[in-house]
Amino acid sequence: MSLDVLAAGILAGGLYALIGLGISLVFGVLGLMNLAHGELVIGGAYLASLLVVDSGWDPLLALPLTMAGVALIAYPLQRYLLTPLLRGDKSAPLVATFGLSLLAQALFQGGFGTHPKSLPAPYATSGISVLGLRIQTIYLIAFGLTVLLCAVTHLVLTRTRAGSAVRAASADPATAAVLGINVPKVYAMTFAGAAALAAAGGVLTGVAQSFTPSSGMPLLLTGMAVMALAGIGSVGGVFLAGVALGVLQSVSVQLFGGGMRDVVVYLAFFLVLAIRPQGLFRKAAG
Amino acid sequence: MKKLDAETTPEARPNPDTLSGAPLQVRGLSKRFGGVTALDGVDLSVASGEAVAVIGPNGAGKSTLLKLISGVHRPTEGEVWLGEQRLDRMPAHRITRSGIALAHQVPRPFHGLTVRENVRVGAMASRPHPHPGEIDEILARCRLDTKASRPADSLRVLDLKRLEVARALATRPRVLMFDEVAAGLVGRELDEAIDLIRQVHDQGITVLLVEHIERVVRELVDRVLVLNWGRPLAEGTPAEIATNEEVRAVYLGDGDRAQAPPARTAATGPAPDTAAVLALESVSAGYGDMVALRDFSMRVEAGQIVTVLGANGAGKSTLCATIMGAVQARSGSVHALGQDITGMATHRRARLGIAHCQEGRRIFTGLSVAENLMLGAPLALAKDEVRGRMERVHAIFPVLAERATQQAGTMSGGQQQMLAVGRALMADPQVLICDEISLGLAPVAIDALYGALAEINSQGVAIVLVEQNVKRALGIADHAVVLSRGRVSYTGDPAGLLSDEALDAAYFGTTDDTTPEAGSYSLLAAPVSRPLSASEGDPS
Repeated sequence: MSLDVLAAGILAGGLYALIGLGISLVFGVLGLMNLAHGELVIGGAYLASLLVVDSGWDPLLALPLTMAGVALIAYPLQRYLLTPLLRGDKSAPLVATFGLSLLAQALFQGGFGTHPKSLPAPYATSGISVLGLRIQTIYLIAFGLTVLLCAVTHLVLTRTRAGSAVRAASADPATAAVLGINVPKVYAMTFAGAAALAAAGGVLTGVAQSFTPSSGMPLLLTGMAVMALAGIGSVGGVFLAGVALGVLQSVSVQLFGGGMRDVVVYLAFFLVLAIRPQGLFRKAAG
Repeated sequence: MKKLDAETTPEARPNPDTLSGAPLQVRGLSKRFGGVTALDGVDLSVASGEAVAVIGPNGAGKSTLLKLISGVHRPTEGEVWLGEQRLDRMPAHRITRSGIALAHQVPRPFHGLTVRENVRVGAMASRPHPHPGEIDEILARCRLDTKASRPADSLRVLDLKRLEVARALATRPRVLMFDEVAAGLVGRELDEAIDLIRQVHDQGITVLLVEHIERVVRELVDRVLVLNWGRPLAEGTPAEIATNEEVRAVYLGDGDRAQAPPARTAATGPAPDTAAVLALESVSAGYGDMVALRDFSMRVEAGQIVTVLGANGAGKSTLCATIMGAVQARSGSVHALGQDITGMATHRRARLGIAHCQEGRRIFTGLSVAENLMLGAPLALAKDEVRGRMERVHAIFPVLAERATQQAGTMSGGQQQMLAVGRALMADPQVLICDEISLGLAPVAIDALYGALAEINSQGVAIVLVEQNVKRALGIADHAVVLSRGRVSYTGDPAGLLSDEALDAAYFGTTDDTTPEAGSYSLLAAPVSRPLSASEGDPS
């Protein structure tokens, strides 16, 4: 097996980590499994396509604007729809996110049609050589951006007062409220942040691959596998889990052929849940 | 201390008793949760058909004991036997089949099932096809027969408690344990709950009660075990326990009231017409059907220390939750700092200047000490100002400066409590509510905290001091309020509570549900109505 395979796995894993990070953040802080996360990713890709395909922007230039745009859409969804639901039955917000997922897919279809789209860029298909390894440029860019976004997320959560407010609201929302923290707002900001991360993942995915309105679901499942692998509560763990999953997938495709691509992801998901439900990169609770 | 099972022979393997005659025996039972010891070497032997109560203050380990016996938790050490069967290693469902049933304090019916279906599920625990007549009989006995086909969700609180008992009865228990089933009941409801338990016992079922309401204990059992901090403190008849000084001390706190000044002078003299910083007017609040606070009024003037006292379950924590908005007042109004805050969101009340130091500390154990403190300050506050406030808190609690970078959960209980108070102070509040801040602390740590409270108060902060530690609280307060079963039973000068008689009257005395029999106000001291005797032969 060549090192190329390993490198490709690591780089692809970066994207998985980016998608998993948003799911993990929302689940960790709000206790909400966001089944519409895949649509936030693909929504980012479609939003970027307005700038890239229609107006000729470079995808990387469109990226910050896309992140902001998706975050702005996500904020009121959490603040005025999902948070009120979180107060009641636990399953209501879960079902609501599934509904949002279906609704978003229908909107994508209505707005953009079902034809596969992609975000054209000079670095979309080109390859470069690093240390003698042949690497697709976009995956290198995606990996670099993922490292950056993970680092920023980690620093915001651990080094800023806003970050400790998020962790406080996550650990004990009632006490956070007693301390004057506006918990619904913290929830909405967290959800918007996760949506921005999803949008970034969407732009990068859109450059690397083509996408359709229904591309979100496999991305959601991959992200969930990353979260299961990582466990809740650490940005670094999510990053490592994404990379591990990427390598696992890349190696298994090399060994068993392309048909086994998703089987390996779900098998890993299942095995981790069965054997180490707290995740690979987290000590058992307590 | 005399072991409760002194009359039995714990060394010998239990004799192969007849099934109904099997005693429940608990030997050296201990339970630790992480580093916290909830139960520490408890022995208890309950003869078949006997009725025994376990009492003790919050955190004494009473519920833990019941949960260990019923298999909800595994003991860390010790054994539980029912007759010749060892229970502590069985899974919970097999313990139930052996004849142990637990009726919970907060009823947990299966929602969506009818009353009858709920009871049938209980019966299926021991046999797949319970006889329908048997279920009807249980329903009738628990006075649920007319409501059998109603959904369990529609029941009111007393009926829910009946259902809880009916479900437990359906498992055909030999031992039925009641975890504060009378909590939240008043007047006739309480009478009926007592009747129900008595009826269960009259069938020959062994009864183990965890209870705070002394009347329930007095009327139903012949033996009482008192737990404190997980250890047996005393045991005896209800009358003996009532006169036990140690038990009184545990319930009323350990501060030396005799030496404490009866009252301090308020930081600002009580000018009658100044607006109160906190005023509750005829507030009622509760959970579901349970009313925990009834028609409660209270005024706190600027710079005052008001203490709110009362036994467990009197409504003190509900009061705090209502002031902060975690529980909505059903009627009445709450005003603070010149605003009506009755319907205001919790975080806005906090920003207005009310800080709440919650029971159980509720610090963020995974965050550092400094992070915890900073969370107490508004996010928008400038960094310099946050630092300034932190220095003021550090001046009061120097240990918090020493441990700034330490993970908060790794500190000692007393230090965690200081952090909780310090965090509340970071909001620069005008009103500080302290809920049970001395609970579980060593006297030295309590001294330090109370010293800090006096200092905080001298800076003009009004303090609402919710306490079980009566003597400490009365020593520092300007005004005292005693809650009993959700109502005010005393309000006025703390000095008025200095005598034991006055305190007993306020704590345990006449409420709407007790007939003022023999004018007896002292703890459990009323004449014991005929005890349900266990020794009168095998009731089966």
